[in-house]
Parts: sequence; structure tokens; C-alpha cells
Amino acid sequence: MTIHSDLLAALIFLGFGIVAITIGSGYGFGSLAALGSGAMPMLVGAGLCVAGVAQLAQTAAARRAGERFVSAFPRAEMRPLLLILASVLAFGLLIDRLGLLPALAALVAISWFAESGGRKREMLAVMACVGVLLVAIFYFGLGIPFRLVSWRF
Amino acid sequence: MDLVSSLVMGLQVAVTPVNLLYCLLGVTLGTAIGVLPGVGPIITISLLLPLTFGLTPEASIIMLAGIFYGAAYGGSTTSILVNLPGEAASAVTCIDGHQMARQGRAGSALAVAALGSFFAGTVGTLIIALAGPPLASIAMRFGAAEYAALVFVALLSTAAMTRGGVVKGIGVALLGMVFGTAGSDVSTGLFRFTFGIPELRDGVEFAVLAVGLFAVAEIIGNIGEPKGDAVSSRNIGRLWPTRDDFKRAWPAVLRGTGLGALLGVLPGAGLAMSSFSAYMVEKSVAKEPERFGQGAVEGVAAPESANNAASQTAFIPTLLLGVPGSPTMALMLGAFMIHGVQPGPRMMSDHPQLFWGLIVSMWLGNLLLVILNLPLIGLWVRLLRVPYHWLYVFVLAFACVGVYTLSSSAFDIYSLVFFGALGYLLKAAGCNPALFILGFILGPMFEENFRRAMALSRGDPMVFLERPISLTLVLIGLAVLLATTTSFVRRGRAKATD
Repeated sequence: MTIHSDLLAALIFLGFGIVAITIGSGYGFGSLAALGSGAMPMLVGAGLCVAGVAQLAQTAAARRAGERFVSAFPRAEMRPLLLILASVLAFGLLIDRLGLLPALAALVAISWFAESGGRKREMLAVMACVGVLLVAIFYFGLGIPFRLVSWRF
Repeated sequence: MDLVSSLVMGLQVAVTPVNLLYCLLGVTLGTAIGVLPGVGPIITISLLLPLTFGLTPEASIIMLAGIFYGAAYGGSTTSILVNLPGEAASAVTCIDGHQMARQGRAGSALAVAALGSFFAGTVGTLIIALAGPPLASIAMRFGAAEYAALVFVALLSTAAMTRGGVVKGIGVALLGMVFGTAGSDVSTGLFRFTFGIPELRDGVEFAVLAVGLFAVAEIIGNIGEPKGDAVSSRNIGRLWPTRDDFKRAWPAVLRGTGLGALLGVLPGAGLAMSSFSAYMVEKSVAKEPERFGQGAVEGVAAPESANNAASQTAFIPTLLLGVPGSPTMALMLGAFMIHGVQPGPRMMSDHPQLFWGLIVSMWLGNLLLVILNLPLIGLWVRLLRVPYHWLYVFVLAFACVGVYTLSSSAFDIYSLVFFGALGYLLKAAGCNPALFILGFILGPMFEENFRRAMALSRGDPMVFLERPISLTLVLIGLAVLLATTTSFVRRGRAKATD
């Protein structure tokens, strides 16, 4: 069974709806005259579950009608997805430990390969441009006290 | 205070060198991103949100607003010259605008688009100034029940109008509302959905959420898509429209402005819908409808003035009721709240400098746009040569550094990864992440007013139906829901029986 976009939407709605109701019920619904902290999460969660079920019913009807579904996750998008998220994560891991410039270098080095066909030498040029521009804007322009390079582990 | 003295005060705020500079910066950036396909006003405003903390509220709002309406201008340039709409709102301009360019009338098309937009922007600004005070006095009478009902209608009709189906629209808006409840509960002080993480006690940081959902997720989606190469600019021709073009364009500009101004106020309609409907109206009132698609100047004038008028009047519900009618406006509302300004009926009396300064700056910004756009067109078109490969790396780096400056904590960057992934999932599921933002912003507003209304009525839900304004709003919301779900059921049945 392929996870197509309509099914994915239903799963997201149901998943978050159930989480919202379960956790929200711990905060207390209160009474109608004095709605508690849990009332809104539970009501919205219930709404999400209804939307999820409606979406499921809609897909089931379409399936019976013999509609063909394509996967919501085309193979071509996996490389940008993983590399872009990895580059942001690398930036977060390095910024406090090594400073701004190494974190930016890692971000550029990883994200550059998210799109195929990039040359390595061009990547170095982009890395230099990004470093100069961002340091100019944030460090000198806005005066934000970044540690450009530091060694803290 | 009368209109003239208010506008004079606004002028004094808008022409201070700092504010003028940020206005110029905003409209220039707006034009640039309007020209560039793949980078829109939502991404740009969310990217710049973290940077505006250090500015005065006036300067930052003036700049962000400039990006918003500047993008509507810039989008038309590429639509006409290279048949490539930078923005969804100017997609319809391609049809006749590009035909005009192919006939060597590009200059005329660009001039009509710019002048029509300027006229529409001026009218839009005037409408805000005129409609403001009376509307605010009506809104002053709104109680908690009315506000809850208003938010309900705004959310519902926006969700129903978006592509991808009403169920997905409502679902994703509800999802945004769930995230909006995170953090400490305003009424009880209880921490909700914080999972023991101290950084979440103040709720999810709006700027991080916006950057993650739009900038990061958009980049992932755009890289996967195949891209066509932009055609280089051809001869622009004479810049001033002919007498015949003028004669044909004038009525179209007027109709487009009127329609756009009206649709801009309605929640859910948006810029793209206003330009598209203006085009349809022109085609249906034209004496020779067959000219459309062959380079009819009305086909440029009407949609371009409509989307500009709408981009101005969209500020009316946001500024005066505090209820944004579109996701971009939700982002603007978020920008106001970052500066501790709560838009609403009291904004005009509490922050007159900001309110009138913004309105006058929007008019000045429109003037700057005409000056920027016409002589510098060659420069803007050259922007199209920037390879996306360079662009996205820079946007991503800018996003990370900008988000990090919020509180110098790596936690915000990890949240960025989370919201980037969530944004990608939502797009894969065919849900519009922009609606998520609307739910996130409107959710807490709805909760507060809903709980207050229920408390005041001692738990009687009939309070929403007993008060006339609230009743009307609830009925509108139900009508929208009914209209969209019945068509949805019908479509489902039709599908099943096929």
C-alpha cells in the first residue's frame, strides 16, 4: 500500500488529534461555565480526528472508484529533504561549540549537495560569499555579538 | 481627530529618514522577491521577522508591509517580460502581458501595470484611511462572543477557499491551533505541551515556526521540482502607453481596483483570486472578448490593479479587528505582536503614530515602486539569472543565522529542523502550510474569547446565537461550511459513481 497524499493527511490529522486529546485530558476540561486548560486542546483534537476520519472516508470512496494513487514521497525529493534538514541540524550542533563561521561552512557544504549537479569548486565560492555576506549583515551591520570562531566542547 | 490631521501626523512619521529608508528597503526587497520565482513574500517576511526585534515597531512594520505589496508589483514584471509569474497573484497577467511583450509592446504593458497598480494602491490606502474610524467604532462594541465568532468565520472561510479541499484546509488550520495552545495557559498559568522543555514555556516561537514551515520546507520542495530556464529579456519598446492603450486601460483599472478592494477585505479571497476574477470580469464586459489572450491591454490593467488594491485593503481586517484574512496577513499580525502591539479597534487610539504612519508609508511606498519599477526594469530582469542553487544556499544560511539571533540558543535551530520536516510532511499531504500559520495565530485568540464568552454566559453556548452580530457571523460561517461540504459530498459521489 502506497502512502499517497490524502492518506498522509488523514494520518497526520488523526495522529496529532489523538495526541492532543490524550495530553489535553490531563489538563482538565473544566465545566462549560469555567472551561479548563484542557478544553481547547481536547475540542481541537476532536475536530482533528473528525477531519482525519472524513479524509479517510473520502480516500476510501476514491479507492472504490478505482482511482490510482501516487506516493506522497517521490524518490527525487528524498535527497533534498535529508540533506537540507541535516545541514540545518549541523548548523545547530556547531554554532555554540565552534562558532559562526565553521557552522556556516558545514551548512553550505551539506546543503550544496541537496541539488545535484553542483560543482565542488563553485561550492567553495558560495561558501566564501555566504560567510562574507552574513558576517557583514549580522555581525557588523546589526552588531550581534557572535563568536565567529571558538573552541568550546 | 479628523482625517486630514491624522494623515498629516502619519506623514510626519512616514517621512522621517529612518522610516523612509526602511520603506525603500521593504519595497526594493519586495520587488526583487516578486521577480524571483520560488521566493515569495511569505518566505521573505518570515526570514526577516527575527531581524526586526531591534527596530522600532514603525520601521519594522513599514518594511514588512513594503515587502508584501512590493512583491505584487515585482511579480508583474517577469509575467510580462518572460512569461514567468514570480507570484501566484500575477499568473493571470502572463496571458495578455506576455503577448503584448511579444508584439513589441512590453514597455506599454509594464507602464500600464505600474500606473494601474499605483492608482489602485492610492485608492486602497484612501479606503483604509476612510473606513478605519467608523469600522473601529463598530468593532469597539464587539464582546468576547463576537470575537470568537469572527475568528471562527475567518478561519473557516479561509480554510474552505484554499485549494486541496475543505477537509484538508480545516484540518491543517486545526493543527495550527493545537500548536498555538503550547506554552503557559493565559487563564490558569498551567504549562501545556511543554514536555518539560523550558524553552517551550512561552509557547512555540512564531518566527521559528514561520521560517521552518516556509523557508526550509519550500527549499526542499523547490529543489525536487524540475525547473525551466528563464528566457532572457527582449526589447522592451517604448515605455509610455499609446493613447489607444490609455483609453482602453482606464475603465479596466477602475473596475479592477473596485473588485480588488472588495475582495481584499474578505477573509480567504486573497490576491490571486482578486486578479483572476478581475480578468474574468474584463473578459465578460469587453465588446470584443476575442482580443483577450492576443495582447489586450485590459488583461494587464485589470488584474494588476486588482491585486494591488487587494494587497492594501487586506490590512483592514488585520489592523482594525486584529483578525487576519490571509496567511500573509497572519504573518504581519505576528510581526505586530512581536513588538507588543495588539492590532484591533483600539489600535487607532492607542498607537496612532504606528497606524497612520503605516498607512501613509504604504502610499509613499507605492510611489517609490513606480519610480523603482519603470526605469530599473532591466536590472530586475537580470535578477532572474541568479541560479537557484546559489539562492537557496544563501536563504538557508540566512534563515539559520536569523533564527539563532532570536535568543542565541541552539534549541531554536533544532525547532527549525522539526518545523522544516513538518512543513515538508504537510506539503506532501497536499495541505497548505500557510493555513497552519493562520490557525496558530488565531487559535489563542479564539480560545481566550471563547472561554471568556462561555464564562460570562455561565456556560450557556446559546450566547453565540443570542447576540445579533455574533449570530450573523456564525450563520455566515455555517453557510460557507455548508456550501463547501455539499459540493465536496457531491464531488465525492460523482467520483464514486464514475
